[in-house]
Amino acid sequence: MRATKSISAEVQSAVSELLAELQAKSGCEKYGITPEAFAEILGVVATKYLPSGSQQAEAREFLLTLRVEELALARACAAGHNTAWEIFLTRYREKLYQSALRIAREDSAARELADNLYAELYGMNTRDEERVSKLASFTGRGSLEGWLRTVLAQEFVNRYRRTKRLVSLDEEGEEGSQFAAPEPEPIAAVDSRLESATDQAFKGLSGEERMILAAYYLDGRTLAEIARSLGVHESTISRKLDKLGKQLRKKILANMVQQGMGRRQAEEALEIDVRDLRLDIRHSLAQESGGPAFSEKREVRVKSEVPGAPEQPIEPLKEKLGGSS
Amino acid sequence: MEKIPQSVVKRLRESTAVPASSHLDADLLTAFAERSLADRERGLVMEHLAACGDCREVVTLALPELETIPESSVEKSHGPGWFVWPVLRWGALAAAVLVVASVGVLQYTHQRAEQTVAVVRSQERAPELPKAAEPTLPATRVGQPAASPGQLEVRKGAPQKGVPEPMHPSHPQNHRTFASSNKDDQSAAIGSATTARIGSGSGASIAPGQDATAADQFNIQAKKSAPEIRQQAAVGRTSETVEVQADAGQVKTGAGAVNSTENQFAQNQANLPLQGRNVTSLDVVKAKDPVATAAGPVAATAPMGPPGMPLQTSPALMLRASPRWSISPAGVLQRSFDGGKTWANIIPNGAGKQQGQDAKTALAVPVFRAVSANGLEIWVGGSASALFHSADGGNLWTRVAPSEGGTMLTGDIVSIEFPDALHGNITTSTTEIWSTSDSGQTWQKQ
Repeated sequence: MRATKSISAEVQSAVSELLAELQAKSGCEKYGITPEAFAEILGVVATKYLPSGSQQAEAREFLLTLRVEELALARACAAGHNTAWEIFLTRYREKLYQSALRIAREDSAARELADNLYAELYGMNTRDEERVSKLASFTGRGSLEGWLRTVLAQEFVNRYRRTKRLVSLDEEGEEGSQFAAPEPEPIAAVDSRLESATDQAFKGLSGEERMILAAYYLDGRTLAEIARSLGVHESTISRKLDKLGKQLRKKILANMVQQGMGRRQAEEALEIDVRDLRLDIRHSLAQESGGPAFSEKREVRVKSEVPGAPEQPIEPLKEKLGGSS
Repeated sequence: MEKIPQSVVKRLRESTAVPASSHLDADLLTAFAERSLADRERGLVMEHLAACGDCREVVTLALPELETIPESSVEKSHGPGWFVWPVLRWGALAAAVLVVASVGVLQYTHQRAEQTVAVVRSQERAPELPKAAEPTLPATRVGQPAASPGQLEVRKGAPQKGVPEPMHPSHPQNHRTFASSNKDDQSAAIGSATTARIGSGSGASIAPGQDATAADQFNIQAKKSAPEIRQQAAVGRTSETVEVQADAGQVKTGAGAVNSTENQFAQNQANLPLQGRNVTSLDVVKAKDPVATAAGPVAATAPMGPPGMPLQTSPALMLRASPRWSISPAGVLQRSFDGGKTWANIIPNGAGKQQGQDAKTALAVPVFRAVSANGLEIWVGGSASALFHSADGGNLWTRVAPSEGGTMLTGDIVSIEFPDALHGNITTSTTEIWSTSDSGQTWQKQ
């Protein structure tokens, strides 16, 4: 947790109002967490996430969304409570390895990933000469299990980025600099009016829309993956992407026309543009075992995920970092 | 998917090219993926995700282990795989029982064939009433295609005759059946019910209520069309005594069936789901366990039971037909057909098995913690909110993901209680309690 902001009076009173209830729900006493200590934890968590100047009612609502039972367990583990550790291990040990395997897709890497996390959870890494368990940073916003998976995934992505960098330096001679700043536009002829029209259209997109576009077109995620990470149905994402594609084209065209381009001229500019994209799409299709039809492609990809193609998670990143050079 | 202009892709890439100085913490990402963020925060996280490929990657990687689900649902809707062995196995068992039963019925009816033939012959001369065909419907449903039509002929034919035909003196049993269905309401009911019961007890033995319905229909017919037959008092008396005897036997059989059924099914009451609902032929296939057991006692305990009825073999079936369920210490779901002597591992999502599962997907099989068996309704749950339901004694499974208003069940399922097929409670390691009152269609979080 970063430097703690001072706990505001509103948060403080919300905490004391709910303390009895939350404390009972969390069962923190059986892990040796005193009510005072628990109140402190709640106060710090609420202060971390609530925007400053939040009212007591907001703080109250926020506190009620916390998973206090798991929060108490995690904090007790961080404090080295034995019973808490036992419970933690019973509940999560096996799952942690399973999740690591799912993320790393390869046994030895998975083991290393999970073992490293265990070291961090136990607090083997010291910070300011003090052993700090990673569990001390769990705040109960989501489930502890989900948090563990997320931490594993973060660790995996971090590590991957490190190794990726090493590999890239080795390969630099062959492939040229992969880490050059966003490459200059390959075809300088691309109309600047097209660009500004695109920018304009892009600004109108919501965060969610941009996130879906990026996940699909940049990361090469499947519809199912995007849907699950957003907690919606796959068909919703499919519809949204369809709609977004049409919408963007329409808006960009309109914007270009507005800038004084003729309709035909604008369409042509966009046409050239799409042709360029085909190169890009061919590139990404090459990774997708070339499924021709849309529905087939989806299934192929879902399946290829399961038996674990080890390079699968790497591909999107590779494309993102080094693509279109 | 709709192609998007290159300029948009480029713009997207630019917008994510800026390395995020700080990533979102694991708590927020987790809460985001679990949809437990308020709109304000969700919006902020979404903004970050739109711009940060690493965090998108993390969110996707950290998704809970559900990968078998899309597969099994695909399998369920399209794949013929489900209909291969498990169902056939039960279908074969049910068919075997039916065959054995109909042999018994045939033997039995063979003894009474003279009477049947005689009456049928006499009916041929009588004009057919169009409605007379109706009673055959429930009888076919009872599932004795070989034996029952003949018997039904007897019953439905008799009342049609406005004028009593001269009976064949050499077949006194004619009169019995004939008169019993016409004599008066009660004896007719008993008469036809008995005939139907004998047939059904050995044939498919489902739904006692069905027999009564059939009997009622005959009865009505009898009353409508041939009241004058009541005058055959002498014949009627004979038939009455016979029928009373048959009735007593029937009662006894019924009681026997109930007793032993209770014993057999003290554990999982496999016959309960059948009561009080319409039994169709589809149900017969599904409900093979109760069929086998219910048919057994009839043969075993009926003193008036047809001689040489081969259903005595069914105690073996009885044992096989009442599965017990358990969770192994390692969290594997197990089923036993021999009262717990041997156990077989059951993997609820059968999809994995068909696809030559490798070690990795095998690991995706959840660790189970709780099972609830209520007849053919099996619920099993375990790690990572894995919850499976089978409505046919563990052959076909569907994964159930309880949710209410966007909130999903999270954590491990530690206990499942289904006192009946519709109502159930599920407790998770995160102390959530989910309940359903419609067999898992909808859920309420408490």
